[in-house]
Amino acid sequence: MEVLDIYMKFLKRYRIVYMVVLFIHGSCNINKWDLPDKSNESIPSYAISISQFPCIDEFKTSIFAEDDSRYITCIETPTGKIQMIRIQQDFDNEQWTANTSLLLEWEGKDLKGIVEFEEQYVVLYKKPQGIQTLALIDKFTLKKDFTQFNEFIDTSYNKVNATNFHALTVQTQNKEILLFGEVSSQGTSYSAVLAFDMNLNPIWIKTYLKNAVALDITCAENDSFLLIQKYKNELNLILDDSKSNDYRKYVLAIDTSFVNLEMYQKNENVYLLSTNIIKQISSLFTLHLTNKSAFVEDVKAYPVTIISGILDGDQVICSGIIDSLGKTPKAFVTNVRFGSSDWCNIFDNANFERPLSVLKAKGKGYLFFYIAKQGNQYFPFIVRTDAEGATFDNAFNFNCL
Amino acid sequence: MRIIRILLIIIYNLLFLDVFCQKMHKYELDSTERESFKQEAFHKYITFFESTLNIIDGRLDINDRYRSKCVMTNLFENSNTTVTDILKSKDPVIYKIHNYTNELFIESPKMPLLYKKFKYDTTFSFKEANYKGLNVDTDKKAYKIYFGEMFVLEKLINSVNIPGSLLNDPTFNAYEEGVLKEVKFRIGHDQNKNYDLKIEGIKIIPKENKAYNYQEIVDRIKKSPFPYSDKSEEMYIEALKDTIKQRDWEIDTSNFKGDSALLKKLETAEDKIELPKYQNPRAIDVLIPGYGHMRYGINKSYRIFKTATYSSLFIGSTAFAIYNKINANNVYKEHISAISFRESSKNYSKANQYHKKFIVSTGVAIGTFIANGVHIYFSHQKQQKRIQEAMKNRRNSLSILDKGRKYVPDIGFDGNLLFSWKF
Repeated sequence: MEVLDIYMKFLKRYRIVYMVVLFIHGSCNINKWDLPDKSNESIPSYAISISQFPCIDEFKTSIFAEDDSRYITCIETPTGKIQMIRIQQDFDNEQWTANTSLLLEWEGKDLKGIVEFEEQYVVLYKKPQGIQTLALIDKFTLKKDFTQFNEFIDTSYNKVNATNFHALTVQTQNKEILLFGEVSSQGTSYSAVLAFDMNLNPIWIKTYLKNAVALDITCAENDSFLLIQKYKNELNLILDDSKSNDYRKYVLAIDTSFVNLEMYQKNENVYLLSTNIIKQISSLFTLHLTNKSAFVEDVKAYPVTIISGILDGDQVICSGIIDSLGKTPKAFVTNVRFGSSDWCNIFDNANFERPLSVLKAKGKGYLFFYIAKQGNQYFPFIVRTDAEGATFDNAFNFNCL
Repeated sequence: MRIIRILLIIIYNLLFLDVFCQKMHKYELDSTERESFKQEAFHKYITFFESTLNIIDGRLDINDRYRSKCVMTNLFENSNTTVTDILKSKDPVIYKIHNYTNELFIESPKMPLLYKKFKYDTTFSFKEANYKGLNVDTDKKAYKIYFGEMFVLEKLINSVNIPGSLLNDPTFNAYEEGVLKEVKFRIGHDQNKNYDLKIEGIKIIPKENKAYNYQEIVDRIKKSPFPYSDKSEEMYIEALKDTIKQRDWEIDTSNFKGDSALLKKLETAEDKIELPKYQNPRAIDVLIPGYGHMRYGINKSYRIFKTATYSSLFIGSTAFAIYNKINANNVYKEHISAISFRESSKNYSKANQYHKKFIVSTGVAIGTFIANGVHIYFSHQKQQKRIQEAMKNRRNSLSILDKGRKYVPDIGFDGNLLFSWKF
């Protein structure tokens, strides 16, 4: 009976609890047997062609996130213009859409790349006359451009015949823009790296191997950078900085059949992502510079014609094209980490031509940027996926083969 | 010794011859007389019943109640006659008539409610047996003795006091009970055809008693043309008194004289009795499942069971609902914040499972809440109905008395039938 007394005391004392509980019951969304499925809304996912902006089939560009729903990129049009566009994603009626707007347009061709630093953009392209130009865009207006490559280089190397820069990157620590390519002087070509400050003033130039072709550059710790180049029948990796304090050269025993090579670096590891044009297999080479060891991991997709990617943590997010002869080329996405691949996915809802860029979204997942063919025209095509390469309509997969 | 033995034999033979030669005055009841006795038996029972109502009616003058007690006592054969009834508990108790009247008289003021109504059978069975006359000492003649038997269906509304607890103030609950009673009568007469009809005993027939065809008797009584009667038959007594006075019969009121001290004592005691008042349900009884059930139910363990069941069911289902809702919310947040559809889908399924458990358990909690309220409401309605029925009858009885309406019993008094009433 003592227990009963305690129980009754409890009932009497905590009657207010009953009231609160009843209120909670009343206020809860109890009229729905199933909770609303928010996955489509909470994870942006779509595969959309930017059909308002036709482009050419080959140029280099990158895509940048203003926030989780707005993106900025540059494209080269068939009419000899460079366009800076904004893509804005919206969720309406349970469907994701992309609205695009033209921010800036100017005459140019041979777009080699765009980098972003502190809300300013630097674009490497050629003017209609064929003069390679580095342009600074601030608040979506052309603030300044630079075309005097030969004049600047002539101060260091006499008789520069020509310059050809393939792409550019940003050294955030030094606030420098690094261009890599080749410089021809007195009939000889040299691989070179040219540095600019943020006002497009050239700072320094470094040349490396004679008759070598620079393939890619990536920034490393401190103010150093890594340059990979093809020299004769071998691949050379050069570690250097602006003052040449830490110059090193590594000769890589990698088959030169690997083309369109991209390089990423983190800590002691250097990652090389490339496609073997003979075997049509993409591979990720992981090089440990201190141990001088290497590990190769094949990408789980076949046959691959071209691949691009980014380094995200300890994994490389890859975006490529599968092109079986006679079949419509498909895009594929996958992750490759040391020793394994956790997911991959294939998108066949367009005639994919080539990957342009991969971006880790500010929110969830990744944004894959492609060129796709539609009729006789080419258009930018964006695929937004979750963190495992899946969209709401194209579910998670772990085997693309 | 031999002489003594011979004398004893002679005395024995003389005595035997005396008995043998005694003139037998047999008197058989004809059908009219039997019907009259049947009517008389019914009215004896009505009188008994009316006396019961009067004794338990605390609003009547205590002398009137005491008078009814005496009347009831005199309806019975002798002080060893037993009455089985339900008074203080739901279980039938066998009382000697004196104890029974005392129990009614003394204990009924402590009971907030006691209401009875009855319906009697059309069948009245007679059995006869040889028996000596009423005045055995003076009249050494043998007369027939008759035993009558009738069945009565009685419905009662009684009350049970419910003590106060942490959850309730003292109150009482009314309950209804239907019982089948067997009433036995004894009719005797002397050579002057003075008849005396007495109740020989009243007992409750349980359903399980195989000696009686319980259901058949109940069905028969239900079909009988006599309605349920719960009216006070005070006027019937008055009519009889008038008849007695007209015929110069003597009314014995000696029973009242010697008990004035007892009456005084009872009056004082009754003044001190504080009867529990019926407690109407409060808002909290409806709003807090289990809270109000300690006030409804005759059986204490049943009250505790209801309280424990409703409250534990409500608390349990509510706690389970809250637990599942919290889990559902947490997992649903994970579903929304998931960075992959696979994870999102997994969390969504999990959140939905919790959500469904939440809905079901909330349904149980709400169902318990509603059921509790409805149960309280119906319990209260049932109590009110019983109490009103019982109290209405009392008011009706009093109003009949106040208006001074005369009720003349439908009983045949002819020259051959005389009644000897003692009050």
